[in-house]
Amino acid sequence: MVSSTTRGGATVLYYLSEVIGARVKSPAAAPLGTLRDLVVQVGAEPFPRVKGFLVIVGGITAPVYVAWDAVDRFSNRELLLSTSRLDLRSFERRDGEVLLAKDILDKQIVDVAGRRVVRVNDAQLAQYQRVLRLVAADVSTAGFLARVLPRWVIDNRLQRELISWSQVEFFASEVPQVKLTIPHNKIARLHPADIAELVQELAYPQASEVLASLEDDVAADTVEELEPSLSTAIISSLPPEDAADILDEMDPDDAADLLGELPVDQVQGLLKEMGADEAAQVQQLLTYPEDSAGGMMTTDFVAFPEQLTVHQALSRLRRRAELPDQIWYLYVLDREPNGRLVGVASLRDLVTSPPESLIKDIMTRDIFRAQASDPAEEVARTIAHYNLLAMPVVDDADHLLGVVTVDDAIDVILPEEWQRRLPKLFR
Amino acid sequence: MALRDVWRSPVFQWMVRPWVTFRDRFLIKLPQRIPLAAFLAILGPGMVAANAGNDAGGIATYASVGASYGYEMLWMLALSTVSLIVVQEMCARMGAVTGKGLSELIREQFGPRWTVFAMLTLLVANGLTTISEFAGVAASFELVGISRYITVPISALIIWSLVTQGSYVKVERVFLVMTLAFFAYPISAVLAHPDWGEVVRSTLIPSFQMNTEFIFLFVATIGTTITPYMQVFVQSSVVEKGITVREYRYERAEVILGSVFSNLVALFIIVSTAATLYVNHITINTAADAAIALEPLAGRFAGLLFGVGLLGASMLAAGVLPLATAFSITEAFGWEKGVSLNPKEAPAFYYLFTALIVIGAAVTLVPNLPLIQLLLVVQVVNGLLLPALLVFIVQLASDRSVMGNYRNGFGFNVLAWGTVIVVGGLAILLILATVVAPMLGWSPSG
Repeated sequence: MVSSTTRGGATVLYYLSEVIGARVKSPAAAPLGTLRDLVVQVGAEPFPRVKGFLVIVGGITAPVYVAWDAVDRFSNRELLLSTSRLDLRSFERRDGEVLLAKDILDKQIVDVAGRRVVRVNDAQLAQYQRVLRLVAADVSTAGFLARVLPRWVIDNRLQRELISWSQVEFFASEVPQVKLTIPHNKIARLHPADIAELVQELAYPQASEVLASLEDDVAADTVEELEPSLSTAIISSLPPEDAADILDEMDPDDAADLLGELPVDQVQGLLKEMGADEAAQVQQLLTYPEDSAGGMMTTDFVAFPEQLTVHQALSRLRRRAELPDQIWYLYVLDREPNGRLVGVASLRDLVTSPPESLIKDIMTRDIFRAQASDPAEEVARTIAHYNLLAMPVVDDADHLLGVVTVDDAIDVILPEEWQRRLPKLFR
Repeated sequence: MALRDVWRSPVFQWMVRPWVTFRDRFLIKLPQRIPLAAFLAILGPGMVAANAGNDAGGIATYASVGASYGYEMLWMLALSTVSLIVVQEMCARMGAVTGKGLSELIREQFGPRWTVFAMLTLLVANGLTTISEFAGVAASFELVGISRYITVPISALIIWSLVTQGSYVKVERVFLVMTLAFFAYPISAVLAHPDWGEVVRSTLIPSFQMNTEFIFLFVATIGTTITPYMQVFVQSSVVEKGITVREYRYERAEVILGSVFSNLVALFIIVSTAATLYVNHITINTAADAAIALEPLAGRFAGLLFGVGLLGASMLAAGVLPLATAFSITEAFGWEKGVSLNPKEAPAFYYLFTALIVIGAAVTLVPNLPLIQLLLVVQVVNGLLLPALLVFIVQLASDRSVMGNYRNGFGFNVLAWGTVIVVGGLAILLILATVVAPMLGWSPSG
């Protein structure tokens, strides 16, 4: 039997599966009941401290609470109390309190270091002097078997796989009965593409919880990487104002694709919450069929009138608050505003030309352009065939409506599996 | 992942078009950008699950019911439709509220021991149903005289490689089109001039016979109408499609429509067999007997038509069923899963999937195995195992910590527990009649 009377710096480790069911005894060693669950306080420390126990007392159906302070000796076989008086009122949870067996065992958690979603099969506790803490989650099949089979069958012969609790994120939405604030700052430090891969494996309430905790721009990048079914579920389950903040930060074409999958009443609610500019762009994009150049294009692009000098154009670029993800191509209009598209200048042209030269002298006049109603696949093939980075979309009067970029064109041409292997060109 | 693609395939979308028009009334369209895909995405899962109920086992059971008792058992089809709606609605709602599959929820709320129990139940039910799908393949080819020793191993190999290569979806459309053959039943039923007054009367007024065969067919009907795997399937599909509580009201309408639709087809199978086989005192022993019900429409091509439909339905389920089972079980235990991983990355998933197909095909090859009887027995076992899974489903759907404000109401729970009690009671009755009664030397007349 492992005893808690540890001298000096010795730490004693227990598995939760061993501890549950331990006998609870009075100071005179008279049996009082059995241990049902452990109450921990989450949020404050990396390794949550055990505050107390839930004990099933003979003759009473609801478990009663025993504070850690009332425990004299603790081991995996028995709990010796320092008092034989128990508060027999049934246990009510307070905010921030989590039950280890009920709320954490069998639930999914994120192993941040391993970048994977795993299920908790068992948990490890460590007692150091007078403090008992949750230190690790066990995700091994051995941990699962330890809870299915009798103790003598397993008897710690199988290798466990432990993940330090400081590397774990778990979800407040799994414990709807109490108010929990879990910051998820470990996930937030990952790259949006990695966050997306993790979130993809979660159920949408937990995925929404993660996204709501991220900065809006990180959340937007993450949502853009998700499968449409999950991203729509997340956007529709978040509070409209939070969802709108994320949509504002997304590429307008991606935001439009996402909203196109939602019922109309929700879309209208979200558009109302979005920034006026962003909402107008998205609304415009929503009017084009999904499989047309219009449905594929983004309205986020840079255009100049042809009379500008290179110097003026560059300083305009510098002054613009937010630039699109990719600005290799700068579109040239005959006048401002509402000009016709007359040419395109690459960023390279701009950088390498003398500052005083006029845009119209360095631009390329002969350019590929698509009509908003052109089939998406045709436009994508043109982009692929001529190795373009982007292609402008115009209306009948040659007014520039938007731009189809090569990354969206790839989505149309390549099957999903291929896309995953391609590096992100512009992010 | 092939499972998800099942309800994305164009043929499914085409099949559910009538419901799309229905759905149009609920949603106002955005100008030009027609969210047809969105409608279908929300609409699809229930329809798929509902139609999958009429697989080889379903056809055999409904045909036997019609051939043995005429219209007499129609009332239980009506009754089990109500139960089917109740059960599927709970599963769909759980999927929409939690975003989790049934096996995941069982694991999270009931712990590892109950999970092992539930997964074993599901494994037995689905394993047997897989056997019945291969029996359907065998029976359909034997209608045109091709031996099962050739067709079953080949079809098992084809299904295994298609699914593991991830290309099952492409071929699946062919199977789906083949199942359209079963739409011949309503026409055939009308052409056979049944006594419609009797049909309506039997549907509304229950009658019961206290004999083993009657109870056997009753349990089989329930087992094939409320197939255990369908409930798991409908919940996973709601999750895969990303349907949330906000879109759930559409999903509910669809579950009801889908259940009514699939059981309407079942009703016509019973009516047409009753009007052709029962009146001529022919009971069903082979697939050729069952095909007679399509003669009023197809004449001498009845066997062919029946065979095509049976083959399509069987191949469809023989691919989806082992896949869905392997998914559910690996999901519950937290193992790696999916055909996008290779067998080294997801060993348990591949072992399970392969074992289900190999065993399913191998059992069908036992010499002189009567296929139709095998199909019926499998449905009965499904009916016996169903109460165990229903108890989990009803408890989860009424749990406040899982479902919050979307948990079952009192009235709904009366229906749900009513279903559990009736199904469980019948299961006990059948066990008493077939196992206990003969041991006591008492033989129920039948």
